[in-house]
Amino acid sequence: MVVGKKGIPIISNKEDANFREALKLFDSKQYKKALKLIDLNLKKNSNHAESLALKGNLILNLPANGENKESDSLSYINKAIAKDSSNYLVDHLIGIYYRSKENYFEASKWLKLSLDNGSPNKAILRDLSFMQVHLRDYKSLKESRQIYLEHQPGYRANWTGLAIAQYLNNELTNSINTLSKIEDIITPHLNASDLYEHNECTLFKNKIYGELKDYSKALEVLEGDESKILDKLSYLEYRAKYLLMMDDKKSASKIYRALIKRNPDNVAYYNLLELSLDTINKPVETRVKLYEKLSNFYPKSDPPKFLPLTFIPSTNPIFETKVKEYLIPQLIKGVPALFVNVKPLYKNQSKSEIIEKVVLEFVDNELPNIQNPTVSVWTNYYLSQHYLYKKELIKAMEYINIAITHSPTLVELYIIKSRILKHENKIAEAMEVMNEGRELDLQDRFINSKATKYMLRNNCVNEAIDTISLFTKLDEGTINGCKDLHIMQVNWILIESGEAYNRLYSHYKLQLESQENDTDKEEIQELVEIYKGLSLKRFQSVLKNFEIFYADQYDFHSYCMRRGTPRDYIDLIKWEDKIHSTPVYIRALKGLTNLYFELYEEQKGTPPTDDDIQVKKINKKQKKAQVQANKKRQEFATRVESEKDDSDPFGINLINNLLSDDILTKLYELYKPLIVEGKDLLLTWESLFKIYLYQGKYVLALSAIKNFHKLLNNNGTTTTTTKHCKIISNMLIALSDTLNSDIDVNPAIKKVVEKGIISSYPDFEK
Amino acid sequence: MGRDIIALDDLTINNVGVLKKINEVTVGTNYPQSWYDSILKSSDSIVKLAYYSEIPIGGMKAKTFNNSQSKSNFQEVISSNISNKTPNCVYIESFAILKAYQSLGVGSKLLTWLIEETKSRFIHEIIVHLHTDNKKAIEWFEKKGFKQLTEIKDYYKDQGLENPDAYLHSLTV
Amino acid sequence: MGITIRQATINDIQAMQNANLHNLPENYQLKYYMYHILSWPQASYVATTYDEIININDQEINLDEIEVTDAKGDVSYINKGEKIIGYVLGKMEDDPDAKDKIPHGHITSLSVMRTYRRMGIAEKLMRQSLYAMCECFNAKYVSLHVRKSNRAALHLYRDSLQFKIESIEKSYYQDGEDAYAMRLDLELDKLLSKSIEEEDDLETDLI
Repeated sequence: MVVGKKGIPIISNKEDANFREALKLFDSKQYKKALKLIDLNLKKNSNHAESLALKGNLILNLPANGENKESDSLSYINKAIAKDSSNYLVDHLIGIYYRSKENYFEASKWLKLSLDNGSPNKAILRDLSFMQVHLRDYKSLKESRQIYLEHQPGYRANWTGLAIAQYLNNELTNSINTLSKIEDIITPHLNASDLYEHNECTLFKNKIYGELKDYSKALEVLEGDESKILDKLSYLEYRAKYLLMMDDKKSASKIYRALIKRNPDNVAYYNLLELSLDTINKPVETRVKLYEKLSNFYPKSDPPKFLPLTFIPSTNPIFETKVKEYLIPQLIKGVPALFVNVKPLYKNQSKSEIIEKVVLEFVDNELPNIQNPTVSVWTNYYLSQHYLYKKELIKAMEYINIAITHSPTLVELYIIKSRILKHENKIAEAMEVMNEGRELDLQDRFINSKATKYMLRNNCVNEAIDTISLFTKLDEGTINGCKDLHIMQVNWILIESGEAYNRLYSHYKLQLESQENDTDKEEIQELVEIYKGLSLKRFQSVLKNFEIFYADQYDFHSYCMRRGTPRDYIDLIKWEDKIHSTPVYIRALKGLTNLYFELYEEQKGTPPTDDDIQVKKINKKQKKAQVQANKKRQEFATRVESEKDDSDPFGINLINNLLSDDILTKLYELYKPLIVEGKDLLLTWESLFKIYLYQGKYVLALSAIKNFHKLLNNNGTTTTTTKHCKIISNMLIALSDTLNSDIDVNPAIKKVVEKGIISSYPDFEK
Repeated sequence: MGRDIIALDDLTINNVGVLKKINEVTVGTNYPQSWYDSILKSSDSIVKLAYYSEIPIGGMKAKTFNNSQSKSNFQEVISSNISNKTPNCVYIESFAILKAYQSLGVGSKLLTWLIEETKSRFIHEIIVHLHTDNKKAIEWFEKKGFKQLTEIKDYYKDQGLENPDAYLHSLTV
Repeated sequence: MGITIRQATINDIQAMQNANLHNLPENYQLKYYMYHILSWPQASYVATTYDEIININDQEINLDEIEVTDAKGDVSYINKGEKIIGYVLGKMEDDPDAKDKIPHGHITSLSVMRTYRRMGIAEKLMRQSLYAMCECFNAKYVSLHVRKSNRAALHLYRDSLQFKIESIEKSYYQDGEDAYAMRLDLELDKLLSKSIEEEDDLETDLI
């Protein structure tokens, strides 16, 4: 990949010849041979910058020789920089070095420098553009793409690359022009294998037209391009959307009908059809008729049957008829998800009462005449969930027990029984029942996952991991699937484990406080440390997976240009830009936040007490006990290792590192991406408020309260629930209390914040 | 969806819990765990599960057997090892259908399957022990052509039943 | 929650991976899902629940009474009120060493949460994916593997979708189980299930 200096070298000597040879070997991954030559060079001339830079790379790529591979290789890189950082070959090699380390910020800096220092190697621009988009440096990206395209205009990928760069810079018209230009050039030369790419690029162009909001132009172009478009679904969706935006509703409605015909199970099409038919404000009877017609066309599809239940008012007698038509056939068929399917209707209490009546009447009047015994099971299963929803746990339990007595081999029943027990706070029993269900069908991973989850909820982590390990890869020398769960990115179990360990940690911490016996105390203290560390470690492993998810995009910066899937590539970029606000990440972060705040308190409360440690003389008996304890600890470690040869199986180093660091800053770093990505999350502002408060950043703390408050109003609600009112007033109290007790606070700031509180919350009384 | 509402399927290591559950709730007799463990290991096992509308609701376990070595009680029968004599008889060890699913033709389907299976092994006799109080079962088997051979006193003596006697019924196929 | 079936996007892959990990023994890292979506965006579908629409459609519900909360920390949720309960991950054969050069598709993975079975979701997902493979990628046929012991899947492929068993691959799965290699020749017209009663002519007024 590294092209040597072209033209005549300034000083043509043995070193340079050796270096060129070594470079070739490096490119073909023959690192050992290359190193021999480089070492020869450096023996003669230890100042040969290019050789130094290459050696840094070689050490990094060779299998580890000792512990110091990282620092060793870096020292050569730094030496090379010191000797000659204006040499473009050196710059390029340093760029490659940082790329290997996935430090794209440094890498792009050096690659850029290599070009600035006169490297004739244009391929650097390609590499550079991948890094620039990875770093979201769109301005530089466009520049690199532009120059590279001029250098290599014969590949469509380079045109697509520029168009994407322009798009990301919000230069929509330029992007369209780039796409159109290559479209024209390439059309006469297309092979069968190019047609898909051609189709995608055409649709990308059209999508941008749509974003320019000139819908008649977009439509005109789309229709003109019809023959190039293989993805007819997108074609229809775009077309319908443009027509709707142009207020040609009649034409739009016909296309939505065509889309429903292709996929009568996509609820979005029904909503858009109604929008284009203008039925939303028409009488309920009109809408019901519409859906009856659609249901006739598509009898196997759920939306045309279900949607009317959402808009027919409970006061209209049609509701009862329709809900009956919906429920009874599915009870008879035995659809396990029937309850969860209609559950959203329960938000409307009158509807839930009608549903209850309908099902109970079915039980009394029709069920006795039905021969198939499974109908009664599914009906009781339904009723149990119905009463569970209504929090009538005794009734819920009665119904599920009837069902289980009737059909004790039906796994689904155990899931509900277990859930009822959980609501009764009988976590251990819930776990037992779920496991009873699991034992009926060991091949089904779904029930295995449920059983595992309930074990974790009951803090039986070892049992849980053993259970889920029936479905994980067991490598040689491992006793459970814990490492495989990390490799396969099983975030749900990492989070649940983190939470379980956290409960165990709290449990033993409490026990420690009430414990008198010293030796027991020591033992419990150890458990407290271990569970605290494990909890932190599991939550962090989820965050680590998200780092991987972010890094995963790198290869696609080049792949998607070649493959020709720009639309989905753009989706990828946008998705990566908000992954920190996805539910899983947030939940792991929540767990971490609590731990960080606890560690912060710990750090504040107890100054390091090294001299406290007493060196006790231990007798033989105690020594034996200690050996035993160590053995136990070792066994425990093998169960919880998250990677091969885990050097910190219990996460104790993680805890200690944090304790010797600025915990609030570390926590703030975790929240930093959320200020943008997660600005719509309550958690973001709740946590940031606390961080700012502890950091003495009172103005920011107040604005966090305001952001929190704004979210509550944004969601369409005007009244804030009492629960949230209380959170807000607690925040305000904490803020003003801290402000008043802080003697070091800048008086001007104090004034600003106090004024701010009064102007935003005039009702807030001291 | 075009599938028969009653279906038969194999017992596997993964659903042996189902057979156990069905036996537990329907049959008065207890089978030890070792009996379940051995089902899939021994080659003389003949076993099938029955499903109603995709829910497992019945199971039959039989084994091939040489009837010259007759056993005098239930314990001995379920714990006996494979004999080295050529089997000439199929013995039904357990045959149960959940109460709510009886009289729907599931038992007949299982028995029909067993008869076919027996024939395919070139065996001509199926035998079963029936508790002398179990009038319903006796009637059912006799309707299917089983004939009573003998009455065996104290057959179920270790099962804690008030009446431990059994009949031995047989069907020639 | 009604169920909706739609094309999968990058936004769905985390929840797809989660559904896969909950239901099946064959698992993949997230990047493999990315690779599918970014190579054959039209070939994968998801089944999701929707319940936010209720708040819009039902005039009797007072929005002020609904408490504002963050999305549930459940891995299966993509958005508030929308969670993935099934998916099909499809691809075209892209192995340059593959024997058959005729363009054909392959089903990498299909699963529906146990509690959402008996609604025909798997079949609907399959039909959409196969239709797209045929339409966008000109796939002439599609192939897949299924565990010998998987009764329900076998029923779906063989009886409902008319796949044929091509061969038995010994010890195809990691745990040693055999697989049926199955195949279906694709014809666009035959892929969507049609109503027997009445068909929308797309012209006659609906209201």
